[in-house]
Amino acid sequence: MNRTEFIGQLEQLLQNVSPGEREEALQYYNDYFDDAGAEKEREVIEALGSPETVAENIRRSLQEQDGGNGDSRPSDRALVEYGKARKERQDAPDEGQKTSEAGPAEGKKGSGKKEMPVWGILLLILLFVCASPVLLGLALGLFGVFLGVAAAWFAIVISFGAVAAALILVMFVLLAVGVVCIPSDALAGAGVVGAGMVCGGIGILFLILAVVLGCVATPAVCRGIAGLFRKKAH
Amino acid sequence: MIFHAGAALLDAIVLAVVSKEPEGTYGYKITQEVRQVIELSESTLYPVLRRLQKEECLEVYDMECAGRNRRYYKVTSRGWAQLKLYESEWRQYAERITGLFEGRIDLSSGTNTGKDGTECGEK
Repeated sequence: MNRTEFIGQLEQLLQNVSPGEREEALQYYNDYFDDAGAEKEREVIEALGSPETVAENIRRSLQEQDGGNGDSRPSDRALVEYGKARKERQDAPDEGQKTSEAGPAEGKKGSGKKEMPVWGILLLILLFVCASPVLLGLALGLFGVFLGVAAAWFAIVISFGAVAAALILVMFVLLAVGVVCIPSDALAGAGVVGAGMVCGGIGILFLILAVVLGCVATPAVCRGIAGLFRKKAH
Repeated sequence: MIFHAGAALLDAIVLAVVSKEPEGTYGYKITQEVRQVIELSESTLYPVLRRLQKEECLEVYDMECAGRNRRYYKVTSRGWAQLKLYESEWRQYAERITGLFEGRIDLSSGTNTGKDGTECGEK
């Protein structure tokens, strides 16, 4: 078979497609032979296979395009039909029943959402601008609450520390007073020393509480909150 | 080659090949260049080009060359958008498969595999 025969057969086989499509295909394959060059004619015919294969490919592709607005398309092309998906969404309110049969095209619609129409983006921006006083107030309020909680927290930690310091100071004073009193009144002196030791014990307890709250709990809470945000961001 | 290019990947490859020529390129050259990338029967390409043209991802024009008219294909702005979409989709896809092979994906973290089994944890 040579080129002329190949093209002739192809033309015969494409009799049942529209004249426009036939012309397009024939021009393409004529160009193809021209660009390959006369010396490669045999090679090209071999590579293309039979005119039947070529015609079959063209016919099948045309059927896929005509059949039901592309719904019969291979499903793996669905994700790119963003223009179509948008159109479908606009048409949707008019035809209520159509949503039920749109089941198989779900993937197409879902991925179509990726490409937001320009008016959608503009609306979103407008919404943000209009809502900004509310959003700003809300954000500031939340920030204030956060600051308040943090301040209260640190106040507790600091007051624990202060109580500890005061109690330990009282312990030293009572110890000193007790020791001084022991020679004159042993019983009273011992009592004061004991009271001093009790104060010191409670003071050390508060000190431990303050250290635990300040140095262990605070970083842990901070990490927890940071982790929460990181999880949300992902 | 044991992995076959589906219609979407074929569209992506053709758009990428045509996009390399800002002034446009022609059918025979496109076919040869696509065949450098994937194995493909030569008769598969015309329907793809024709469909991309109808979807306004490619535009055609005829230009005189060596005493005859040759048809050139050029990527439209819509085609560029489509190509960008394909590129990002492909990167995600390739990244996941490679990650799986190289053990970078922690499969235990996404235990809820839905009906389609394609849950990836983050949407």
